[in-house]
Amino acid sequence: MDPTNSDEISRDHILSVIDLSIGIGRTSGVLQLTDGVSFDLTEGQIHGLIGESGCGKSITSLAVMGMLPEPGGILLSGEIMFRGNNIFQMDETRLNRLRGTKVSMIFQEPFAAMNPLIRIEKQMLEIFEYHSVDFDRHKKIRSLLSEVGLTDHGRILRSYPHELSGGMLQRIMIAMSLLLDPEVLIADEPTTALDVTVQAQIMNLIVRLREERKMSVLLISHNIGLMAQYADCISVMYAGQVVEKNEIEPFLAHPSHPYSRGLMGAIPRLDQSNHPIVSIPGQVPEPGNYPAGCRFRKRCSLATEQCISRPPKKTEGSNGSYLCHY
Amino acid sequence: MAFFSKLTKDRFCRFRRIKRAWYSFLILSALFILSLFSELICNDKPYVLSYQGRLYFPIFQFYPEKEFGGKYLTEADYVSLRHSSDFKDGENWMILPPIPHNPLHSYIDLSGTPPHPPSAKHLLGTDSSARDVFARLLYGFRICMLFSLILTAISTLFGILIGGVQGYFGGVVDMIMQRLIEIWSSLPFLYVVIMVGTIYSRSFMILILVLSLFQWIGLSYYMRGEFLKIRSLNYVKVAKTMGMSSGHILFRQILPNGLTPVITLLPFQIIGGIGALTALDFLGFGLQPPTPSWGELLSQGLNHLFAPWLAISTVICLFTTLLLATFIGEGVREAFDPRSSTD
Amino acid sequence: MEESKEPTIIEVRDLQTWFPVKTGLWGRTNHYIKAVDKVSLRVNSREIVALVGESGCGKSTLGSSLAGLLPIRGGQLSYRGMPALKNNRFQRSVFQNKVQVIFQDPYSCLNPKHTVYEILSFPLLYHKICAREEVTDYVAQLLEQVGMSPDYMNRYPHSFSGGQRQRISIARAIGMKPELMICDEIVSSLDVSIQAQMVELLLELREKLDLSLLFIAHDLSLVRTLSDRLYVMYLGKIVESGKTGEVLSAPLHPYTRALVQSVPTLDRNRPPVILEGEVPSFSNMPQGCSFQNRCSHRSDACLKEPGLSSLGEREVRCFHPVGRMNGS
Repeated sequence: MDPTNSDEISRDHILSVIDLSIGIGRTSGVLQLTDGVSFDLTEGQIHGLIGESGCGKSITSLAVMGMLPEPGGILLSGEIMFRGNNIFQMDETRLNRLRGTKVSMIFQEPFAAMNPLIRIEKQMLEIFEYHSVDFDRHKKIRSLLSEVGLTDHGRILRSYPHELSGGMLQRIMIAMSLLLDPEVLIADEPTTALDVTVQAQIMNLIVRLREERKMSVLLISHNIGLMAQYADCISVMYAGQVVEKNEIEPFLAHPSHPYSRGLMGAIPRLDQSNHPIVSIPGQVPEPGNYPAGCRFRKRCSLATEQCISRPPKKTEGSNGSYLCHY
Repeated sequence: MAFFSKLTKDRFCRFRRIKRAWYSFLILSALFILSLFSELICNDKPYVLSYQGRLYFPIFQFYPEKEFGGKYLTEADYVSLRHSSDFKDGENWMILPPIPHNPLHSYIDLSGTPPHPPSAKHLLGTDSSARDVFARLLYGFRICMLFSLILTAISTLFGILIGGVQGYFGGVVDMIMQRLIEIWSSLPFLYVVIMVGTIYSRSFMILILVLSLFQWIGLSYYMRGEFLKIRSLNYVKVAKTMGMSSGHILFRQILPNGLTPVITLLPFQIIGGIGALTALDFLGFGLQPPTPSWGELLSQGLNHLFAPWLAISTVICLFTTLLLATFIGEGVREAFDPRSSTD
Repeated sequence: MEESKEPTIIEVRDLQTWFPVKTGLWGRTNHYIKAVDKVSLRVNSREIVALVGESGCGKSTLGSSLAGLLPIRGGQLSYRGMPALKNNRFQRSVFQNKVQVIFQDPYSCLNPKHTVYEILSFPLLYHKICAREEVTDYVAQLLEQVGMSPDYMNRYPHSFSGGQRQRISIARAIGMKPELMICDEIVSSLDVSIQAQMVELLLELREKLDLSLLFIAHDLSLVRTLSDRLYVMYLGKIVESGKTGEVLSAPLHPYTRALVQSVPTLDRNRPPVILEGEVPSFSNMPQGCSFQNRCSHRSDACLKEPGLSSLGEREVRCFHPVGRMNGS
């Protein structure tokens, strides 16, 4: 991908996160949570964002909706362009129109995302309260429920959230997020709380929806198997930075960054017996306590003097880029 | 140990940072401690007395009248002694506390009819029995606070014990105890107080005893809830699987974690105690006269509205005390609020 | 691993843990949720046995029942041959602290008001595992064994991460010198790289301390790397068991096969196979085989409850197993 002529590129990309740095203002100063995060999403693509806790992926995903962490979230630098318009320069009205109609989000815990006291139908209709539409709402709700594979419409619409299973609720969440036909779906750990058989069903559904609607998906997870199966490209996050970015197949064949390699080595494989898992020693550093130079160096087997003194620069490879001296 | 964990220290620091609560706490504690030494601040007996070359310490020791030239063996009347010829002139002297009045002494020889308005000698005037109001307020404050603190201590103990047992054992035990508590709490406690007070004397201890029979009920509801909640937490389950006894689990595992409602309720319980005693005294069912008491002063104030200094001074004292305690209570509640933790 | 001639630490036979469902005005017991329904399993010395299943299958209920936290309705439980159930009442003294449990949520397993030293030393002193003078040294030793510095002794749980707290829980358990540890989803809430560290730790402890593990989990890949034998549970029953490698590479029960095929692997040429349908609720169980409403192999025979057929170490509860058991 030719990095020159970025204007053209960003119009091809439906969503571009450019050098995003977000922090939280505390009485003791500003705590930086993400640092120069950049990645792009093209139309119809499933882009995976992988990382462990504390890497900043959830904060980044919320920022795409124009939401900064509460309380005290600050945009330190960078921009998020949706079809060429900077999200952070939009006023409230435009942002509200963006959320739901252009960019939509589903979360990890379907139970927590629903109001336990309100029936499903009413919750789904609530979406329309903020966005006026000119089609028949009830028809749309039912057609979407079918689209996500739920057939017993009447019973489901009359139910309360606790009467339905996790898998069904997640499907309903997906249906709700699609009510306004968004162009981008952000899926933040959509299957982490679900069983593996249900996970397969839900991921299959997301892929099918992507094909049918030409929707782009930002898939956030810590499960590399999920990325391997469903993502087209992947960005690996560690300690607030994107340490590697690539298309999925080259990534799986040759992960470049030591953290990515460590992650692949630490993951148990179902299909390979006698594959010893090698853990990454140490722990993820806390924001504000990042080591000087490369943030991964304390756990990296390749670390040298360079890694302490100079933060690594982005190395471009074929199809991908990573943040390492090696 | 566990009671001064970092979490507790954090909460304490947060409490201190809430200026209103911290200063209220300092002021109220200072006043209370001061009132414990009421005899040294406000007394018609001198600290030290020199009579015919010998030193006497009347506050700390009993001296009969005869000692100072009187006829009887009863305690010397230092007030009249003060004004007697022996002390007015001559080598005999006495050093009096700043407020040279006793709450029980009726100054019947003052001009006019009691209650006397405030004057240089009696800063807040006298009450309807010609007793110094300031002295009665001070001693009354001490009694009030002591009563409330002891009452709170006893009712907290019972509340924790009973609520804890209910919450820990649950099931049938809880159900039976809950029904018993409901029956018990429907007893009209005022009648019980009156009846017991009539049958036995209305002493400090009896009143505390009777009131504490009812005061623990509110706290026990909270403790029951806390224990029920904590009982199902994993660390309690682990303690069970490790074969620890019920006693250990109750006292070492659950209790240190269940004390939050106790702490947050404490200031309000104290307020309740003060209110209860004052109300009883006001109605005449509280402490026996002539014990100095705010409730009694209030009742006098109501009956002698033309002597506003009685009512006003008492109300101001009550109001200030309760306000300070409320500030403390709010501060404690805010300090213990888990949501405002910035860990 | 060779056929285990090691003695059996814990044996469970036809264990039942049922939860009554009370309905009606008088709270009469209408029917039961058979969370654990005639489950038999066995853990031998120095073995790591995994118990897998999806949510609601009863595996955690089984773990808690074996820990004596839930009332048992029927069946037998024995420790080294000694019966531990008397009239269905759990006799903790039979185990003599040789069986310890570790739970999933690291944040609620440690008493927030106790220091690490207190957490580890209370049970030691209570059960007189070591003398009072030696406790501090012993606690330091325990912390080192789980890879933590003894300097952490005086800290409180809230200053530690999830992985570190689980290590403290493990240290607490091994302090009692157990023979068997029941690990109920202990790594499920941790990051992937930390999970790997914990697996290494558990394997190390098995070697050093001659420990057996009953590892309850839902992550098949993890179970593959860690365990020697495997039991698969579905709706309260064991549907398959055997050596881990064999069960996962050549599953016999249709459900096991569906589970294995649902896991997203790194091989893009093998996408996960969808298992349609949902787990029936416990109050709405089908007549006969509990898996029939989702099974592609079902027939009329499945309206009767299948028993457990076994061959050597493999067991399967199905009338139409998807493979053939290796006869010899």
